[in-house]
Amino acid sequence: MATLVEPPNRIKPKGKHYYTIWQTLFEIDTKYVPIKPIGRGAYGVVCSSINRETNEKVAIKKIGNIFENSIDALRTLRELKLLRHIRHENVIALKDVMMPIHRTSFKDVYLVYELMDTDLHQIIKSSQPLSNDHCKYFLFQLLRGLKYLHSANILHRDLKPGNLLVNANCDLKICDFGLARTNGVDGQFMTEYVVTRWYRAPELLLCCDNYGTSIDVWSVGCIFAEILGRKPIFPGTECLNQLKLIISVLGSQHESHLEFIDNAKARRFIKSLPCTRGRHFSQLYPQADPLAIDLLQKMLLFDPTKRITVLEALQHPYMAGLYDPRCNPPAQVPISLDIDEHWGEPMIREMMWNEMLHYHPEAASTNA
Amino acid sequence: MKKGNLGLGLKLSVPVSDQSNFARFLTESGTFKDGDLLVNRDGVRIVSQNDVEAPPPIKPTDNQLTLADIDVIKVVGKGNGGVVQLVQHKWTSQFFALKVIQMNIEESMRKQIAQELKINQQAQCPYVVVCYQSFYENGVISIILEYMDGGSLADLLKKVKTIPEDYLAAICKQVLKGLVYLHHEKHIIHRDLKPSNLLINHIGEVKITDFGVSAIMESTSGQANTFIGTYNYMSPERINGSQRGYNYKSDIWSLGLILLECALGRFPYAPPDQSETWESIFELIETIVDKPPPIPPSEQFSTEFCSFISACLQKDPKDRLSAQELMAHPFVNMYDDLEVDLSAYFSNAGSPLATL
Repeated sequence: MATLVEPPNRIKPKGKHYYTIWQTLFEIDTKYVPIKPIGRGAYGVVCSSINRETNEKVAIKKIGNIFENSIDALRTLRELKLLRHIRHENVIALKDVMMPIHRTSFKDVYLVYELMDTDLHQIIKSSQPLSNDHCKYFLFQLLRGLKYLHSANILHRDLKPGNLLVNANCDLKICDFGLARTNGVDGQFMTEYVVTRWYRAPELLLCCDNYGTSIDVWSVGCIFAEILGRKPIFPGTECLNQLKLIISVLGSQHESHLEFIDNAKARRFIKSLPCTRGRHFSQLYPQADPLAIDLLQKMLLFDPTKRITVLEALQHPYMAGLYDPRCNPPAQVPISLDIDEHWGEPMIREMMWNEMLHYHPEAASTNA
Repeated sequence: MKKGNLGLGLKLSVPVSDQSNFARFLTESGTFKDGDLLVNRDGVRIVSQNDVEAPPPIKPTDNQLTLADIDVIKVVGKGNGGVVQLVQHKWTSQFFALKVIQMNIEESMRKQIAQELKINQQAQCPYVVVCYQSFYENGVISIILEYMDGGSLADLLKKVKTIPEDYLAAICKQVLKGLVYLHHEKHIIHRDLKPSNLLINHIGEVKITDFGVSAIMESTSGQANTFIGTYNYMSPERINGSQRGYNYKSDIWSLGLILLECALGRFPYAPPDQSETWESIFELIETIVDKPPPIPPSEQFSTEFCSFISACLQKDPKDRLSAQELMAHPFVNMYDDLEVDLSAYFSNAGSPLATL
C-alpha cells in the first residue's frame, strides 16, 4: 500500500509530497493522493490515485532514472508527444505530466493516465467465460481506435493484450505508444526494438524495409485469435521459431504470396521451411462464430498487401450492428513526430520539458 | 457516440488487481509458486508435488543469507528486465552478485525464471556459478550468486583480443567439466552459451552462468535489436529446426564457436563479400546453416586444436562429440605438463570489474 513518507534530505519542495509504493519513492503533486499499487512493468511502477481537485481516479506511472537508457527515454518522449494530440474514446488519455522540480537534472518522470479496471491480458487468462458479443465488442473498439490512429498516420507497432486496457463495462482503450511512429511522414529509419514478438507481423520478422498499417492489423488478428482460444496463437521463442509457428498454422505460402519479401535470403528461409497444409482456423476455434473465423482469416494473411485493412474489417459482416461510419470521424490532422533517434540526453531532456509545459503552461516562466 | 457498450449489456468480472498479476504463482503468504518451486522473502524451497500434506513454510532460519544483511556496492550488469549488483554481506564482508529481476507479466518468461531458480537449486559444481539463495518479494525476484571478480570471457576478450592456445586449453577444460556436469549428471541443456555467460575470477576459475535469464533480459530490456547476437552461437539444427528438439550437442556447437572466437579474436563467421556487417539475420543464418563450418587456419594453430574445433563444429549433431567424449580429446590435456597459470593470466589482463 502507499505510505506517506518524509522527503529525502528532509527538504520539502512546494507542491510535492512523497509516498513509498512497493519500495519505490513517488514524488508527486500534492493534489494527487495514491491509493494502491496496480502494476509493475519493465519501465516503471504504476499506482492508482485520486485527484483531490476533481475527485477523479487516475493511474500514475513513475518511470525512474529515465535517462539511464536512451532508448527508454525516447520511448517515453514518443508517447508524450503522441498522446498529447490524440483524442479518441478507444485510446488511453494522458491527463497530466508532473513538472519536475529541477529542469536540468530531473531523473524521473510521472505520467498521469485515466484509470482503467484491468487489461485484456488479465481477462483472457481469467476463467470467466467470454461470449461472442464480448469478443465482437472488444474487436470493434480496437479497430475503431486503430482506425483513428491510422487516419493520423500513426502505427502502434506493439499491440498486444497487455496494452489494451478495459473496464468492467467492457470499454476498451489502446495504450503504450512507446514504439509508435508515423507512417512514412518522417521517413526515418528506426531501429527495431526487441519486444514481445508474438504479435509481430511477418513483414517485420522478415526484415522488410517497407511496411505500413497492415502490421497493426496482423497484431489485431493475433489478439482476436487469443480471445477466441484463450491462449496466444503464435507463442514463438525467438524470431525464427515465430515464423515457423506462423507457417505451421497458415500453411506453406505460394510463391505469389512471398513477393513482398524484398530480402532474398529471408525469402529463401521461408521457402526452406517444411511443407505443410496448415490448420484452418475453424479447427483451432470450433466454437467460434463462422463470421469471426472469416474475418480472422482475412486479418492473418501472410502477405501484407492482401491483408484486410482496418476500414474493411469494420465493414465486415461480423461487425454488423456495431460499426457506423458516421460516428467515426478521422483525426483532425496527420500528426508528425520530429524525433531523432540519435538525440543525446540534453536534447531529450529539453524536449520532455517542452512536452510537460503543455500540461503546465504556468511553469514556463520558471527557469529551475 | 454514447458512452457504454451500445446497449449490449456486456459485463466483465474484473480480476483483483493486487493479486491477479501473479494469481497462478502467488499464494496468500506472498510466496511465488510454480509447480514444485516456492520462493518468498525468506528463501526458496523445492517441494515434491506428490506430498499430500501442505508444503512446510519457508522460515528465516532455513538459510543464513537474508536480503536485509546485504549492502549494495555497485551495479555491474544491466538490462531493464534485470540488474546485477555487486553486494557485500554485512557480517562476513563476503562479496556476492545479486541479480534482481522484475517479474514481468509475460507468463512464458515467468516459466523461464522459475526454471532458472530450479536449476540453481540443483547445480552444485565447481564449474557452474553458485547460487546461494533466491528471494521473492513485491514482484521482484532476487538471486544471490557467487561473485566472479574477473567479469566474463567477453570482458577478457575486449582486453586481450586473442587468447593463446595453452590458456584456451585450460579454460576449455573447466567449461567442459561444467558441461559434463550439466549434460550427463543433471541432464540440463544451457541453450545460451556465449562468452558473456562464462565468468572468470582472480583465482583462475571459469564458471558457467545464466540459464535462460539472459533471454528474458533481452526480451524485456528494450535494447536495440540484438537479432544478430541472438543467433551467433546457435547451432544449425536449432536454427532450421530440422530435428525434433535440439539436445545437449547444441551446447557443444556453441562451445566450439566460443573457443574459435577466443583464438581468432573475432566471431568466426564473417559476412560474405568482404562486407563489414550482416545484411540481416537471414544472411547470418544462411551462412550458418548452408555454408561449411568455420575452421581455424592450420598454419596458425596446432593439429590438436584444429581437431578439437572440428569435433565441436560438425553441422550434423550426430557427428559432434559429447562433453564427456571431448574431455578425452588430446587438445584438452596436451598442455597439462606446462602448469598453465590462468590466475596470473586473468589478473594481468585486468578486467574492468576486477578493481573494487
